[in-house]
Amino acid sequence: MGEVSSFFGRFHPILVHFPIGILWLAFVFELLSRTKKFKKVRFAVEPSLLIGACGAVFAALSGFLLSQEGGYEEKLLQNHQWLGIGTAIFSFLTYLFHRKTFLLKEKQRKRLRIIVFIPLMVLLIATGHLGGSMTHGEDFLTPNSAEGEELTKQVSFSKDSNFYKHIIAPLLEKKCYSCHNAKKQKGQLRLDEVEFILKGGKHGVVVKTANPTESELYKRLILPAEDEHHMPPKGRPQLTNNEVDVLYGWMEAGASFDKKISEFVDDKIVQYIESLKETSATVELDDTAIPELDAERMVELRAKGIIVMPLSQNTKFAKAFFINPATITDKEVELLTPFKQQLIQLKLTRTAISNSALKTLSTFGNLRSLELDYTAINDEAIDQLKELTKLERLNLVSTKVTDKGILVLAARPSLKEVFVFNTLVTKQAIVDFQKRNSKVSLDTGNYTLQTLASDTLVHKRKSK
Amino acid sequence: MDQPFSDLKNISRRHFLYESAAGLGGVALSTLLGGCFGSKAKELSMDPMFPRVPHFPGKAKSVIYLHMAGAPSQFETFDFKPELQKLHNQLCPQSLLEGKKFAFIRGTPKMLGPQASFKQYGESRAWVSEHLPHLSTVVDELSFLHAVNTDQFNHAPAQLLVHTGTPRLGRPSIGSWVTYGLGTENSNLPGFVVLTSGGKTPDAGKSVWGSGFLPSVYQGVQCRSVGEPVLYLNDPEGIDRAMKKKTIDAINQVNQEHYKEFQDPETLTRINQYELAYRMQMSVPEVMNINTEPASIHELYGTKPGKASFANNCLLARKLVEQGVRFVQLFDWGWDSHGTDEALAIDYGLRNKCREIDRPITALLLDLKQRGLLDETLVVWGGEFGRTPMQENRENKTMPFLGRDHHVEAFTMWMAGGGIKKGGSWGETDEIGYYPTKGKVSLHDVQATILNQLGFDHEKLVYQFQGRPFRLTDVEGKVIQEIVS
Repeated sequence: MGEVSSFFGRFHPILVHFPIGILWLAFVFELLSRTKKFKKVRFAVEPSLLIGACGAVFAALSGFLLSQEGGYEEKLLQNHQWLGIGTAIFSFLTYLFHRKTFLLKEKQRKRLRIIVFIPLMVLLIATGHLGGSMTHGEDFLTPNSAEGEELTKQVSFSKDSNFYKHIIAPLLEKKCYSCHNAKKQKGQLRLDEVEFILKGGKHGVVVKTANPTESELYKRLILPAEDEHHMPPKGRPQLTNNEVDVLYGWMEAGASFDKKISEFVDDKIVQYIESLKETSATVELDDTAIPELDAERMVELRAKGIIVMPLSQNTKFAKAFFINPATITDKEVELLTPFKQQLIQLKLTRTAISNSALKTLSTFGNLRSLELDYTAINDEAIDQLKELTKLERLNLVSTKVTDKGILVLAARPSLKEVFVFNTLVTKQAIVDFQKRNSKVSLDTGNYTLQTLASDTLVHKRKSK
Repeated sequence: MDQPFSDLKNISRRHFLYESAAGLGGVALSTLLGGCFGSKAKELSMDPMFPRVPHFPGKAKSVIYLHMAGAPSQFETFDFKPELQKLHNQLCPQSLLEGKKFAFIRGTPKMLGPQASFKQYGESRAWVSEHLPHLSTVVDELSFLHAVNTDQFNHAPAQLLVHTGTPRLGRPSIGSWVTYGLGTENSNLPGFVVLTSGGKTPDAGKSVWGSGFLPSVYQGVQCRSVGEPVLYLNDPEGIDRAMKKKTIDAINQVNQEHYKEFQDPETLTRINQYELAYRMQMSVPEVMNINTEPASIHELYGTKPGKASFANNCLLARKLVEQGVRFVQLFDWGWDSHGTDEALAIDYGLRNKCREIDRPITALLLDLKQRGLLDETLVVWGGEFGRTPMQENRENKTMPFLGRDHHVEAFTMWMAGGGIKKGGSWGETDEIGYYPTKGKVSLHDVQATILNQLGFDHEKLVYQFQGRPFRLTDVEGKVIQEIVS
């Protein structure tokens, strides 16, 4: 019986949406029926309310069964439950009221109906919101502020910081809290507070410091992904191998909540801490504000030997290059304009472009890497790059760029790497550049290797 | 067989299954392009070398794999073991021999101390032997793997494991996987080029650049290092280029018809190869000609045009990568320092081999760097296994020269460029360089790392064959995050 009921209970997330939709529709019908055009819709209100009310009963029933499984925060659940039951009852009452109002006079009826409807709608919204908070977390609607906090948290630790607080807790927060927190305790386990971690869950303690390999908190992580006891469950973000190592190392060292970061010297842990510092430093490219790539146009360009393609799967940012660079002139570069927002990397190497191609490119505001090597461009082109405020990498190998052009670049804060091998740039300009901007790696090339005696020395056994 | 039906044999079970999965282009495009080309995808998909989108933005666009065939000794190159020097000429303890298989060592061999002096270089303080004086100036560009482990102690299977992920024949090589996954950015050149030096090709033969069960368009194209890089590129007398084009068009038309009828991906390969060969008539002589390079470049690499050498191949590798070739594999034979003769001796031949690669590899790294290519080109150096800290005693006899036998437990490789950490090092061996003590990595880990740098999740770059998905790293492999920047 328990299994059947919990099976039915799990339909709750599907069932709930039905009465919400229907009851809202009833409300909309009610409003519409007040206009001349849709007067007849009033006949639909009553059956809609009945169907919606029946749906609400089923939703409440399945919800009750689901709540028996446990794992949700008590207070939220209580509120949601009573509001849900209230909604079911109230929708029936509204339905009955609507039937009765046929006996009243037209004018009275209209006013009363709306008065009865409004609390039902309020109930619906409140119940739905609490339900959503339980499954997606209370910060679901306003996640951005929370993420911002997390970022600052990651960076701000030093050698003397508490290891649990700054390394373990954020890791658990990232991968485990969503099911094991104050709101939701799958397997009756909470991992968000020290005392609950020590207390364990349905299957007893989860951290055995004497024997980390036997700890549930470790054992379940390394079970095969297909195993039903594997944690995190299928479809949830998994721990990386390094994260598992860190948890293991922490437990092996006694699962202390007081030790400092500097007390952990295991390579894997040190490496993890380093990686935390690195990831918090690099900012991922955000393409949410970028329009989709125009696939039809990409195909058209391809026929002309111009390849525009996404940088990788799941991003709208793109790169462009050419099948036969020697045939590419300023005119072809203009064809890239529809992609000016998406293009991040552009390879114009060995193309037949002139300075004016750069005028077109000045509107390509997201460009990070621009390769102009082996083209006929000169200092004039460099002036056109001013608008490219995100440009990080610029290849000018074998161009006619001179000192003047290079020194203009020194004022560009976004630049990281510039390649000027085989140009007219002088050594003095490089020195001046580095004085003005030492952050840019300016590669002038012209590397040579010393001639060593050993270069030509053939090792042979002396003849006897 | 009845003549009219003989063609039906062409549709094998494999092709049938293959087609069920929507054909060659369909497979590649649906998994790698994410459907971003919509309705015209089918049209484009006829070109199996069409550039494709990786799983995530990769740091590297191309790979230059420098394979020292025969397996160089780590003890005379990058793995400094002063303790081994103290044990020189002492008998090897039985504990190191029990339960072990060696290719040639029999009985109880003597320990062989490092036959080179070492110094630390660069900001990374990496140990490099005196045999590699030029490379020691650029160690801060490299990341060493000092504890690579293999389970194959014979050349051919070990080389297959390095390049195809399994010691047995039949799997695609890493270059094939990469061109299958990414296509190529220069349709006038092959996507995967192989160059050999040292007088012999690798023991495992052409399988180390074979395409296995992948369509054969993805196999490596071996170019000759001396004379014409590709034979018969010139038009025969009396046939001009226009005539040639007409001929190829006619043949391809017939092949297209054939493809429509039988849907064999190998027909697509054939069509593609005819077209590529036609385009290569123009592009190959240009890219494979190192005579046009300035004298300063020749001086840097130590190249002598017209002579086959590893140095020439290094320069060619740069030119190919510069032209958008995806994967360049260089095999240099002659590193099998058993001590059987002077050329294969730790004290003579090995030093000469080191000299032959030292300047060219250093030059290659610097040349890629000054052209802005190093950060998008992954350079990998290594052999197929390491060499023993014991002196080889073939048939339990003293050898004419100092030599070391094949060693599987730990050996050194390095990577550079393509998003690899600068001046990194991962893995350590014990005092005599026998076992890994820290940071042991497998060849599958190395392969996973190479694919990772190109933007691939090695677990997702798969090909459906014989009813199941196959991948380069089989069921293993972990990206070596320690050397990834």
